[in-house]
Amino acid sequence: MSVGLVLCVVLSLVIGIALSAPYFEIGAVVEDDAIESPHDTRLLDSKERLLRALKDLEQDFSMGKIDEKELSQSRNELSLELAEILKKDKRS
Amino acid sequence: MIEFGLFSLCVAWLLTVFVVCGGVFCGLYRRDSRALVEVLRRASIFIAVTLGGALLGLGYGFVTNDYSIQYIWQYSNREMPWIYKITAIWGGMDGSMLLWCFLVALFGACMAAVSKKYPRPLLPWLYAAISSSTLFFTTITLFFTNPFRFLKSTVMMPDGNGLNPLLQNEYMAIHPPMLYLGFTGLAIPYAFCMAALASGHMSNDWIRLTRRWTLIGWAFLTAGIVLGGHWAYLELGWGGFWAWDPVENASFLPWLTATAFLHSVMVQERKGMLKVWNVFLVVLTYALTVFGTFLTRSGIVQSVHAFASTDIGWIFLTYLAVLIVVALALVIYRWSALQSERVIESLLSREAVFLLNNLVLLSICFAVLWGVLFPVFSEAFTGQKQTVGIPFFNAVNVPLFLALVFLMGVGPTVAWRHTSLRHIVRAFVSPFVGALIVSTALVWAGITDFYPVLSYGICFFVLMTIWGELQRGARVQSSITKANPWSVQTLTAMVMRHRVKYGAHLIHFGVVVMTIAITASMAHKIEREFTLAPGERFSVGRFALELEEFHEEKQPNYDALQAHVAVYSTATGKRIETLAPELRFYTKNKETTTEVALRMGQREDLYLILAGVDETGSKASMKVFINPLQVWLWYGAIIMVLGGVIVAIPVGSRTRETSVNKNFASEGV
Repeated sequence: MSVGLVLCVVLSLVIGIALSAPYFEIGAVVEDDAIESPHDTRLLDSKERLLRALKDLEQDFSMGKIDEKELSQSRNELSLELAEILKKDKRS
Repeated sequence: MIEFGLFSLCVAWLLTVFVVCGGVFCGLYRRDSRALVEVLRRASIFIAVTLGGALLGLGYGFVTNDYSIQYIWQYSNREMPWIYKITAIWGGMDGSMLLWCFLVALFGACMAAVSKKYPRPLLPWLYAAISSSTLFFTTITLFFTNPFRFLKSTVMMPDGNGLNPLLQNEYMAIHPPMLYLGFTGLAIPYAFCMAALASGHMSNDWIRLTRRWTLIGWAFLTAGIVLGGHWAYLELGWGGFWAWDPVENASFLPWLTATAFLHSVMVQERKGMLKVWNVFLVVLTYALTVFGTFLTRSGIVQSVHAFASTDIGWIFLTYLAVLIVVALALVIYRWSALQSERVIESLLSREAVFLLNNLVLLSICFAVLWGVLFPVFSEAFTGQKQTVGIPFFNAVNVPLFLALVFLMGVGPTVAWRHTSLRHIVRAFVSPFVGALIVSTALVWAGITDFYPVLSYGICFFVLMTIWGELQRGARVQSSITKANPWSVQTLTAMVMRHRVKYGAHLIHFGVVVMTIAITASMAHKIEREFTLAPGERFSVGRFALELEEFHEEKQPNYDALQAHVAVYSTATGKRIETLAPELRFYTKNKETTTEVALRMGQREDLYLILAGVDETGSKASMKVFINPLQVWLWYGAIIMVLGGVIVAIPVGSRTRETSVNKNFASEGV
């Protein structure tokens, strides 16, 4: 039996065992409770964007790219949006 | 071992079919089956393992000179050093396709290995999408360009043909794999995009993950393209590094669209805008990598890089059509989820500049694509194949590139949403005045050509804006740490805190360095041809060249004739170096090549070619190039790749929910 042939057999066995193992380890079907609903994902996205926008705003202000008036105006706008999101989040 | 290679390839093909079908089935009907998702994940990893086995089998055949295999007989011979026997694996079409399959699968396996923390709804589609790419290339490899085919001869061949002499170079070991890593790495963003569209999980997740994978592919592609340029510079002997060759262009096209995506993705991440545009860029980038492969392998264009003409072009075109139709159908299906959440509020904002940057990059892409396809179109419409050359590409692309470099200085300096006019004046006046002074000084010094002066001016402008950003950043950081703004502690903290931002500045700095080098080597290049007998001298630039002697050398696979040329400084008269350009005659292939002798310097490269020797063998015809600042092109590329690596380094492994909530807490929300 050549080395190549032995390797072929070993490879087949390893793949067969490795691919069938999850069904023995985990069980056939598990109800998935980890998948977020699209609504949760959208809220999380919005939160993330607002957070980022706030950080960018602070950073741009500290770097002198926007003045104080623009900072407070933009901050107010973002805060209002944030309040809306948090309300929705609480409701859901 | 050959049978093991072929067996592995067959198993890999079966596994890709399984993952594609299983992924689609799981995505549609069994999203909640953890076991099936895990099986698909493991199978994705095993695709890479089996394709690695196939590559190993082929490599073993090369090393052991198994000339019963047609591909090995065609691209190897006994005299070739072992390193070239290894590199010959991808020296021809069949092996290069196998390498391609392996690298796509390798990226797929890496992605699968870390995918446990990815959003669950994406996973089955993600495995299916990346495996669909592997399936396409594996199908071609297995059924159309199989490297394990036996030689159609009843007599055992004692020796092979050998690798093309131009490919018997150490760069062959690194350039094609690096380029392929770039191409195949860009299949991952495509897989994420398709998975997001198919699953409907259109959150920020896929776009954030895609950005990192794109950066990895982009960094490899950048390195691959530049290594190719360096190889061409050293090997082809025409004194340049980029000839706008169709295949060079084919590697450049996805780089342009990937670069555009890396900018516009930031707008989507922050503003929820440009969603359809980003999908378009990701699909276009992947489609262009496939198109590049098609160009190289279909025989549609003439190129030094092209493989022998084959009849597999239609398969590539069909695949391209399918992937575009599928992407289009998914975009239409998810149209409502792809709508922008905001609009651009001001033209003086970073998002507006990024959009402009995208338009310039896509314009360059279109111009290059037009140049590549012009011979095909001209032949189709007029019956005559007309090509466009370097002048066309330079005329169209130089102004666009300069506009791009200029935007590189503007983009990072302006704020998101809106920038105050006061800041614009403060940030840009000094760089603008500085650039004007530099340009005037250059004109006064005798450089009167428009584009070089403009290019140096713009580069100086960008350097000043980067410096300004650094200064402002260091000041802000020092106000937090209460330390000296220029202390190592402050600078390190600043870079670590805004890794992406300063990584991007480093990339931009690399581009500026490269632009200066390209401008200098294009505008101030010196090129001379001359003939010398031993003892005679020829002066060029700051150097005097004296032919000392001829020297013959015999290597296992070639005979070489070297000319020993002493290099003297014309200013001091001192001998600086001895260069030895050579002519090589590859005995097996019966081909002659020239080997460049190069004196690399920070100020300029001295590039010497032995063009020929007269009939009496006493006089050498030579060609010399002096390429100013050439070495800075390679330094710039290293800086760019380094910047890419810094940006791509993952921050941490917190889950998204924890990360957002923690950041909200830190913001006092």
